[in-house]
Amino acid sequence: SLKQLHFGHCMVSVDMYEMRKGFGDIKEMTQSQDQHTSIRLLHGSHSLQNTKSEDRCCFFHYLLKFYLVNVFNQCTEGNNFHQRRVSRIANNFLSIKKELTLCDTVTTCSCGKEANQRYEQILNQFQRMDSHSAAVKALGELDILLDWIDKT
Amino acid sequence: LAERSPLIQQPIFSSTNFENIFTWKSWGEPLPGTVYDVQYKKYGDAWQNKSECQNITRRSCNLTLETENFTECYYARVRATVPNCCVSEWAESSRFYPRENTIIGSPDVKYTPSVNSIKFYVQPPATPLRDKDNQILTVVDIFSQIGTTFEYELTIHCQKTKQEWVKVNNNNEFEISDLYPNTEYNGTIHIRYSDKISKPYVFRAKTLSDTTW
Repeated sequence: SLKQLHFGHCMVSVDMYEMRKGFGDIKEMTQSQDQHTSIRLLHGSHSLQNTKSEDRCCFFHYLLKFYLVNVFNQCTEGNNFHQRRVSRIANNFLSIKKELTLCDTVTTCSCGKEANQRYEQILNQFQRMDSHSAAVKALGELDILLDWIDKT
Repeated sequence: LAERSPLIQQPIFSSTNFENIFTWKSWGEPLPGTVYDVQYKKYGDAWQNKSECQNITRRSCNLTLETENFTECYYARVRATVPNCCVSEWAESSRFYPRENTIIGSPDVKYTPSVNSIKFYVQPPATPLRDKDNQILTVVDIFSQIGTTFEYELTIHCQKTKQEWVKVNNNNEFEISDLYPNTEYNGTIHIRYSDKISKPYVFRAKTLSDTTW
């Protein structure tokens, strides 16, 4: 059930079904742990599909790295069921990132001003929170990111 | 007013055809004079009072208009006040996604029997939402807007032969042919959308008698 998605000049294959299924299994529990519901990291106005095509590849690369570095490895507690789902999604992100990195060497996955600004806003909001709460919030927003990826 | 243990339980959105009602239950019999205040928000925003649901005694609040952007996600919360006594904690809903959490009701169906066939015309359920020309939107209109795949599924069963077959269509018209004259058929019609299914329309129809010699 791999889906071929285009991000600027780069094309990557994404297992949307597995990621949505994995997240669906932990969504309610993860989102219920988010005590800061007046804060949102991934705003609709900053979505991937609202990003200029030439910036999309780089912005997406940023988001993948953001989740791999700041989120998945922070969300290691929780029961086995929860951890297995998080690691399965993380592995999906890793393989997508590899494909994007390969593409980056061949074509330009350039980082324009817009991609940098959008990513900075997400990172600033994230860093204003304590790291655990921020990671829980970002994990709870995975469905928003998966929607962005799907609609690109 | 002293804080008391929560007087409220199960604060949830119950949504059918994108009509989004926030409901809750009372913990035991509500104390006399109990009134409720409701707030709502889009995820990431600040709380707002729902003006029509302040100091109410009923345990539901229609938040359809406040949650009409079906690509967004929302929260609602409620608290109880017992005059000259106490105020409960806020009881908050989980994150509510209209397009994922709404239940799709049964479609409306018109059917026309003939001697050897039956024609079905399926009307998807209407929603409380309107487009910019003030036309009522159906659930299918909304699916089309948000890119949700959907199809119509008809299951028909012949009483006489115990045969059963399923037909799936992208458009809302079916014609089932090669049927026996003067025979009863029953079945259901659903709308399937992403990985979900609507409530069924249940039908029972009889083909016409064959009056030709």
